[in-house]
Amino acid sequence: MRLHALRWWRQARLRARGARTGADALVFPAGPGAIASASPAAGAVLIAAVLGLSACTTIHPPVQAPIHAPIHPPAQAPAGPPGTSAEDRSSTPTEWPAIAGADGRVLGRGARVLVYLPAPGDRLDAIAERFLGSADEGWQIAEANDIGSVQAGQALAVPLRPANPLGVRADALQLVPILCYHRVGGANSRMSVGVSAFEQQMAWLVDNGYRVIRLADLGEFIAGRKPLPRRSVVLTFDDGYASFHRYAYPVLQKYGLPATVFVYTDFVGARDALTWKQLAELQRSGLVDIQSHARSHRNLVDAPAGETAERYLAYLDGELRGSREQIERRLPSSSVRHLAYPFGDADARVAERARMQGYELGATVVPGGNAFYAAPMMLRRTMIFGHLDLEAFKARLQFEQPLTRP
Amino acid sequence: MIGERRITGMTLALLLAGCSLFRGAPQEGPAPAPAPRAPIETSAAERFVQQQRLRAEQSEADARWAEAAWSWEVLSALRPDDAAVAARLDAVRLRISRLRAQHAAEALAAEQRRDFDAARRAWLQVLALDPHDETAAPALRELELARSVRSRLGRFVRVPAPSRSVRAPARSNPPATPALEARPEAGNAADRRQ
Repeated sequence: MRLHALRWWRQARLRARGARTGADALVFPAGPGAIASASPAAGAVLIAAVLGLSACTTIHPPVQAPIHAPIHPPAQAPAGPPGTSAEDRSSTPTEWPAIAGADGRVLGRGARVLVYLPAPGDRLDAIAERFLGSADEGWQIAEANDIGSVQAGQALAVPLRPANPLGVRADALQLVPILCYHRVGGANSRMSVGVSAFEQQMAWLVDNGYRVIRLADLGEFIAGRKPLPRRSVVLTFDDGYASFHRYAYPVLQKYGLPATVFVYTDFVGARDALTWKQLAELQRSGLVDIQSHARSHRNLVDAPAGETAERYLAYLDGELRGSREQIERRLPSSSVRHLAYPFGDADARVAERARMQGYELGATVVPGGNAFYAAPMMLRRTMIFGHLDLEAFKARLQFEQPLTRP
Repeated sequence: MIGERRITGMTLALLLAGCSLFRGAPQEGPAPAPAPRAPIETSAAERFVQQQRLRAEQSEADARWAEAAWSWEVLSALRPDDAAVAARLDAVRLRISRLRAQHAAEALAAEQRRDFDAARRAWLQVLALDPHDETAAPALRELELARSVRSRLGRFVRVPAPSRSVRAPARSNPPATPALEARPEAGNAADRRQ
């Protein structure tokens, strides 16, 4: 079994490498040139714009060559370590995509970084959209410059390639905690977090620089395909209680926080469970992802007494495939690739069987954050209990681990 | 003559239209005279250079070599012809290369003697020096996988259950990870063992 698992990991690694190579080629939207051939009228407008542009630029004489170097998109990211000094130069001189109102200046550029002087009112998301292809990547500029927002007259280093994709620094290792909730409100139980406490926790995350990300993003991070903000956190809700729809969902909507609900399909529609109609509504929101908690919530690790190995594997397959297929059938837009093991309990055999049934991430309830090298089918999750106050909640957000240096 | 004036006027209008198009925002009334940008850019660039130089030197002093290399690389992007910056960048990269080789050798040696914690620490040092190292990340993933297989990660969080028999839960009362209720204060103890 161990050999199987290792072989699977090597295959996953190779796949990740392939994907990473592909991801290195940054894609940018077409530049202004794409508009030019649209029509003769558009061409005339473009000529006017170009004439106007040349007139404008003559107003600002260059101070020195690098400051007014042509604005270039990033060269294809070099694959080697930073010791290869030739990577700093050379690129194909093509225009960056123009953005209406963008009036900042590129002061200099290398293959992996450019230095940009924002225009008044420029924002990190707009700068990220312009140079990194997505407004969501503004955090990369913020972290590279150790800032929270753009300041007037402050030049910025814009990393054209993630500077630290795996989150390993000299003194700390980035971890991504996955929080595991069950009920929110409506029950007096340790497994139920009060509505006001839940809202307080979410507000605290938002107010303190945490980024609530999707579980799928964590999957990309541990596959080495996507860097994550330093304080990333994932929200998950197990079982599929109706209280999620009633109490938690409105709070998540209020703050725009994504979450995953792990349902075990035998429970759907029961007295205090979510219904398929509610699950469809949640799925449609784009904020909530519906994933599998197996079919019956039986412990997958425990083989029934006297069961043959063959029948046990068939039982596992039924639990894992049955729930996935049912969710995908009832929620046609869903793609079930994530599994929360019932009781958080898994071993190598269960994890391997889940992987064979199409799951890409498996969540346990081993507390703590996940480093980039976390085993995808054995992710750690931290339980959030009803009796925790805000200080205890904060203490559970383990987003980095100190590293001792030799 | 009139035709020439008209053409000149149209050209001027096109120029002005182009200018306002480039600026993006619609403007009413006479356009304000453009502020001289070069001094602003120069001062911003100089301030940025000073900040980055300080940051690079502080990172070197703290032995945060990857960050130092990054800062020198940023400076190099801004001042590609500055030989002093290039020299500092090359020196830091050389240092990184030597330290990387040293830590990688330590990691491999630790793996050979099956000291996986030491191997993990050494590989992390490699990545701290070079975040894009292509050897360390797969090695760390394999170490983690082997550890999770060894420890059957996920099992040990459970309190030894009084009854391990498989039973279907009642539909209206799911057993929401009950074993954990018995030991909610487990906290992040498992992580401290990492």
